[in-house]
Amino acid sequence: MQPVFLFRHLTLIVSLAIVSVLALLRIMLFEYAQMIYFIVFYISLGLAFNVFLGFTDYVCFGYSVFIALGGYAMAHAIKWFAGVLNPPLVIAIGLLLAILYALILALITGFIGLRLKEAYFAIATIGLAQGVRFFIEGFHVWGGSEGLIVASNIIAHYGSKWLSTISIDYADLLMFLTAILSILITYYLLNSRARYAFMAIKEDEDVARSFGVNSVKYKLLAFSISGILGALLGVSKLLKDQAIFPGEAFSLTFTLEALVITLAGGKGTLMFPLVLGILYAGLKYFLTTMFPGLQLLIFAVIVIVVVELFPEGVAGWLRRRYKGTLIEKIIT
Amino acid sequence: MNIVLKVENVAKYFGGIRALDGVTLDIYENELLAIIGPNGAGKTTLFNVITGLLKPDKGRILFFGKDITKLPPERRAQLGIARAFQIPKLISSASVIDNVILSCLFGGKMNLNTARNRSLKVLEMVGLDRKAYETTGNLTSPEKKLLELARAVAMRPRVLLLDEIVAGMPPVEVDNILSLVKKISTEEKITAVAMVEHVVRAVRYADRAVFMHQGKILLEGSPNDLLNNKLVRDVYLGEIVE
Repeated sequence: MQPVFLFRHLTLIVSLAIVSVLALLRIMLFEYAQMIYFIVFYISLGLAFNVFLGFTDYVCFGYSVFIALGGYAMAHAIKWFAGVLNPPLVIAIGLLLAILYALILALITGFIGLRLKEAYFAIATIGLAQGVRFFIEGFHVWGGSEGLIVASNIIAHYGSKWLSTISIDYADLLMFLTAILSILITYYLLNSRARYAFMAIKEDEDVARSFGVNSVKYKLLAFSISGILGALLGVSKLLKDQAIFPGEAFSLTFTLEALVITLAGGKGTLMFPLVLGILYAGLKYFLTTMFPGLQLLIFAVIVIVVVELFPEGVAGWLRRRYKGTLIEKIIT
Repeated sequence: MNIVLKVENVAKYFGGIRALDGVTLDIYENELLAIIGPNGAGKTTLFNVITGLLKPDKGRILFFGKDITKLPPERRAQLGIARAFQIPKLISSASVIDNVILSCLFGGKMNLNTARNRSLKVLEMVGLDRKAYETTGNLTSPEKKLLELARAVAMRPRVLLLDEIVAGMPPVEVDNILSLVKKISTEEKITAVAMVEHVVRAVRYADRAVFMHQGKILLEGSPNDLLNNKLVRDVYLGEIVE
């Protein structure tokens, strides 16, 4: 077996081991549960975003819409089924709704938009999140600009004990499961025939098509998977916050953070967005705690320095630095 | 002889420029057809129309009698139309074998194991088997041309379109690659259509040749007939040195 294949298996084992250690810490050190949730959120966000950006080189600036839709889906499930079904079943329905919402949006926008080239698609998606937000606010659907608050529904139907169980245990469990799912999907894409299709699409889409690759199908696949993973993040976040407000949910923040993690790490790889997700979350947590109010300013400077030092991401820098060696081959 | 590919009265305009102006061409099974002509004759546009990267404004393309004019490029590749580009369009960050596996998987519709075995075999044919796991970007220019050829051959096409694959190469390399094309097309029973800049050399390998000029096919016949034709000499060759 070639070293490159061995390394790919190793990255899966290491990635799952990192998430397992975090899960263990979450169980053993409950006082750090919030921080660990924060870290796992950014691991998942980076990997989920990377499934589309990393494998196709397309950027979706409206990515936060998927996270928001996941939140709305779970809020709907709670609003519609709380008191009718038991809490785990309501959460299961919320998950299914989140997948459905994300899939419908990804298929509609992707089917139209993914026929465009990279830059034009990116421009087209800038308005996506804001368009959905203004639709919700303007037409007063899904709670309009006031959003949806589900804490009262949970307390009324299941009692306050369930409120904390859902907010802490279920939210954390779902976040860990999303991280694991993101890792497994990334690993699969790196080791299946889809990897070849994505490599070709990234290099030159017309050439890829000349060799039999249905580029729209594969881009749509990556976009849908990435969107669904984003929606799962939104589900967990809704369970954690027990409310969703359009102004915050559709903001550009998550998209920009995902971009930083993916690009600074190494798009299209497994380990690098994961490690960068941890570093990003750790740094953000540290700056918010130590320099409240100044964290964004300091953070901006750090991001500029990192981008200046590693314009192709850490993975790209390593590939260039060790060109022609085993390291170049195994960074995938 | 069976007609594999039929180009029927195809026209393609770019604004006021007639890149293809009513081209009609039959390509027969297992032949090696050379397309010669000066720059701007419409040869690459013809390949782009055949592979589906460009839609013709007029006319149609038939592949084994089936109209493929409206099929997308990926479907045409899956039917068995492969193309090697003039400037190798390889995945430079991937390994040599991965470039070949790609065409086997999607163009040749093989599974991963078959694709890997087939890729190694084709790389051996072109002499790149020892570099199978090298990074493509590290190959030399002639090696990249060979890989481009290997990638197109690997998917077991019925028709192989070779777009100036020997352009800019020294005469020895030209002979090596053209004889390799001849050998592979014979062994693998592939119909090959080659645009060739080195026309004098092309005649040694081609079964038939056509001469294109200003978007039209002006002459069709044996390579020697074309080489000795006054029009070809005036428009394209000038005086033959060899």
